[in-house]
Amino acid sequence: MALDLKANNISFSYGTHWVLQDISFEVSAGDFLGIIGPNGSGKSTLIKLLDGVLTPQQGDIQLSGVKLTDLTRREIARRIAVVSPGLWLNFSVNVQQLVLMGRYPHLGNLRFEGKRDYRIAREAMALTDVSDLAHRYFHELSGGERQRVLLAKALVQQPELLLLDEPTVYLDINHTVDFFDLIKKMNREQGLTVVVVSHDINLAADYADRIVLLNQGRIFRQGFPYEVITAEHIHTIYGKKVLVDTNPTTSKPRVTLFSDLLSRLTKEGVNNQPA
Amino acid sequence: MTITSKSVGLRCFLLLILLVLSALGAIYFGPAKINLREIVRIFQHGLTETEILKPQVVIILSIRLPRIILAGLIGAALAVSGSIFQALLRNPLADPYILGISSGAAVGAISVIVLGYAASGWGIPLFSFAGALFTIGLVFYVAKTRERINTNTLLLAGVIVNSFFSAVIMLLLSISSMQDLHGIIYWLMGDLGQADYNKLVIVLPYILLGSGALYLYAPKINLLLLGEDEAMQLGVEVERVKKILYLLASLVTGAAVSVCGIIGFVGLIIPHIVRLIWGNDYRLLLPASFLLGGSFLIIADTIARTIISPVELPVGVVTAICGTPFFIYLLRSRKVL
Repeated sequence: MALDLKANNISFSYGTHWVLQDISFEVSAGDFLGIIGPNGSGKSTLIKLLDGVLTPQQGDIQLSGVKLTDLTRREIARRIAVVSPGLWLNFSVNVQQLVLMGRYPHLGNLRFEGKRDYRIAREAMALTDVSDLAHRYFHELSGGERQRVLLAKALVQQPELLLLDEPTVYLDINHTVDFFDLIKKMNREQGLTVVVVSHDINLAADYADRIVLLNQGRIFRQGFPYEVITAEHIHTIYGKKVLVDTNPTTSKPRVTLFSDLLSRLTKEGVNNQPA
Repeated sequence: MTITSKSVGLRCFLLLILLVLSALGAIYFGPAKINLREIVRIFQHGLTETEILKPQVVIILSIRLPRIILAGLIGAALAVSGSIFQALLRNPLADPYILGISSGAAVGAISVIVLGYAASGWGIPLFSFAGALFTIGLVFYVAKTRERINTNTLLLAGVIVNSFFSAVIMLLLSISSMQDLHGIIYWLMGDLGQADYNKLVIVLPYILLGSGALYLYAPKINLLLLGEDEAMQLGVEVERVKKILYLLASLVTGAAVSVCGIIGFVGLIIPHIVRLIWGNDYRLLLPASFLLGGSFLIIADTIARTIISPVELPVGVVTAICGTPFFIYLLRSRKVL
């Protein structure tokens, strides 16, 4: 059945106060949705809710018309994969073994991975440029290498929907572009549906087709990037003046940070580059 | 390293050979001399009424054999449950006793000794098993919040219950008589000297069925090593699996402790030795720990009863003294757990 993930008026609390309130939106097959918002606006919690790791106290989330709470974990894992930031291991597991764990939802309970599983893992590791790391231990890798390994693990799951929670925080600029290009390509060519949470507004604007802007646990705006990402909205939510123009290479809105101090110093000629 | 059913089978077969060899060695070594040729002849031709009463045969069949089988089972049980607690708590330092099961069992066992009911033979295993079960339930109850088990809370609950029972053990020790103290100390350090077929029959189902059931969870345990959220995202019903692992591993530990006291180190070191050699895949780690744990305890117990014969050492002393240097060597040569 075609993928469709729908959040109906969900609210979630860890106990004392509402982290998310009255959230409704829909992701359909082939979408590329960006979720942005300030620290503590509930972005990561929303990802966990969308995958059913957390359950909302109010409202429900439906995957192709079925409530997540009525599905088994394995049924969900066959369709949705997640890349979360900062996986910490107390035991040594090598990269290949870790990537192969992504096959678990497709394997029977005691089946060992077969040739096909190894091929899928090799292909995913080649795509995310971690083939050389196959026999290294995960805990020995750098933050950026780890993120790419975790993406390979998620791809090995062969999901219809990929949820990414700050996937590029540890990545260099070149790997950040490669990472998002790969995802965008799979989104275009294979119809992979993507939801990405990012604190980097420009990155989200450039790659996502639609944006959800969260503020204090509520949806402030959702729509096309040019509708959501405006100087006025950003100022309202982040309390900072920004310049919003258009990225000439992508025709998407581009946010430039604005600092009173730096602009004054520049005006006075103290912050200038030597000519 | 790639893990296939074939590679798991092959490695377990090697460990099975080691287990059989250590059992055969353990039959041979001991204070009473055994004539090998005679034994082979007797077992080849089957036992007749008269031969079954020969001292050599009696020593082998009713003293050494049950003890060796028990040592093998207990070693296997402790290694398996240790590896489970390490994964469940995501803590390489976890061992089967970390959540207080051993202290609970000890309170049961020591009470029986202090009250003078130890002579019947059934009192100690029965009461220590009851103590273990009580502890398992208590720790579970303390750690449970809204149908969920938080592993940090579980660890804390275990540590707290453990220290409470340790205080009770100290209390019982301080009011017990000199004659009882010897028995208590031996129980606390782990002792296989009381082995007989009855004890085997009691613990066998717990250990075999428990370990077998745990093996069914091996792929899920692998995913649990990545953390609970990751495991859920990959398709594991984490809360259910954690409860099952906790209960099964605790029962296996409780059964083991109730018949032979607190044998330390096996449950900590054996899973790590397997890890250091063959990596961290529980589909191999569990059966390999089972077999290696069995061999290790059989060898340790053979040393314990022969090294200053006719006096026997508590086997727990030997496991710690043999195990530590080997473990340090492995740790230094590989540097990762």
